[in-house]
Amino acid sequence: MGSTQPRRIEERIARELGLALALLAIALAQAALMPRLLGSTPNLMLLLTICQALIVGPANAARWAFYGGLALDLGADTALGVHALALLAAVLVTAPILARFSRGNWLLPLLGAMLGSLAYHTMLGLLTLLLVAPISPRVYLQVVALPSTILVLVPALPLFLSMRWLEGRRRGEVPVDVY
Amino acid sequence: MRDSLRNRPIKLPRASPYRSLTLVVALVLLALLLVVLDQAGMLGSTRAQIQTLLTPIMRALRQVGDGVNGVGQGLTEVTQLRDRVAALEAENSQLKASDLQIQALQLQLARLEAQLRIEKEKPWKLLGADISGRTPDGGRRLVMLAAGSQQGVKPGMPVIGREGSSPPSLIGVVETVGPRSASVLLITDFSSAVSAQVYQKDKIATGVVQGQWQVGSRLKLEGVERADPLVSGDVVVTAGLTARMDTALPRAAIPKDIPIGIVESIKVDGHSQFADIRPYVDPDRVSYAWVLLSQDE
Repeated sequence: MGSTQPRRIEERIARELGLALALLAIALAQAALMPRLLGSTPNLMLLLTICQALIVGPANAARWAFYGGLALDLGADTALGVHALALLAAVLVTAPILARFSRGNWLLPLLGAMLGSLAYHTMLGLLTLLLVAPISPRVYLQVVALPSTILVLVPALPLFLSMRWLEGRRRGEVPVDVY
Repeated sequence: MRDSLRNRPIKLPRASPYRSLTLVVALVLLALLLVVLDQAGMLGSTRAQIQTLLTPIMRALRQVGDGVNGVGQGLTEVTQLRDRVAALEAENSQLKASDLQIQALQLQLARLEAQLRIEKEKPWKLLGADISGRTPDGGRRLVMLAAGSQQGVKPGMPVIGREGSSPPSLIGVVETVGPRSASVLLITDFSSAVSAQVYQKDKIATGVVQGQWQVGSRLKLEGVERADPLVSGDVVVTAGLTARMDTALPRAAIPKDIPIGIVESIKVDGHSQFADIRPYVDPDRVSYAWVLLSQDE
């Protein structure tokens, strides 16, 4: 009886550590492996976090955002917490706005990726403005935010469908699509 | 639903909305705290230790990623794609002729030869290193170098790159240094400003080269007096003003006469001139660079 609680805590810590390490591996791959298109790399971490928020919910996705953001900061040598805050902003904007959409709706990942990417870049731009140097919001939008958003939209649907399928299998659900 | 052994209802776990909200708010606050602590320099040593562990992994990934990057860049520019195909064909024939170990040695030899050539031409002492990582988004132009304080790298040291037949040119400045890795701010980043000069017939025009990537171009030469008219094709080199002053500033190590790029177009505004600069080396394409450790006087 007495050993149940400690085991649960240990399991939870091991799970969190596993998640953090997996996201660190993804962040390293994103920083070092992903190809550069339109001056940016497709932001896999952002897309994973948004899909997680849409499929599982904001609380779970917030953990992904935090671990993934810290991993990106380590890989990119930006101030620790900057990417975590940007990813958390993406989760906090996307999940409540799209909460009423069915997970079976194919538009959900595209809207989610668009909203999430814009929220992410707004927060990142704001933090850059505060911590690094002044930038023009209009030009930042044109040169950084919009190309990155377009790049994120391309793999949004296949990644969302894969993650939804995996989550469905985990829960034993039958997927229903709305066209 | 009932527990068949104990004959009592099973309580399914339900996520409390307050607990979820608390978790999200806690993570946001924690991230904010990390930003503040990092800005205050309190996480520097921990961060350096983690990056020391990550650098070899990123270096290995980067080598794999270079091939993928080549394809991505080629897709965006047809001419680059053609050049890349030609280079890959040549490289492929070489690969067939020699095994991987010899290739690695050849690469090392080529880099050392390039370094020796540069050191023969210029009074520089260089340290070559792989570029192990880049910023994952378009917000800033930083690269991670697989060399750090253990190899003698210090903040403020200029970083040189070479591409094809270009002269060895400035691509960035070391910003922060860990034991075995260093973060380099590329000259194309909008927060990068380097004093520069253009040699003219009987005088020297001076100005500041400002990064312009986030505002749609690459480099801009600013603050050149109108009395020193710039011409398209003029060569822009570093002025080395901070190095000449010999201050104890962390960014005082850029010597003069490091090539930067060529003047492409000129605009006149009041008493000063602005010029768009085409860098000799595209920092985004460099996978190996040299840190200028010192210069013989």
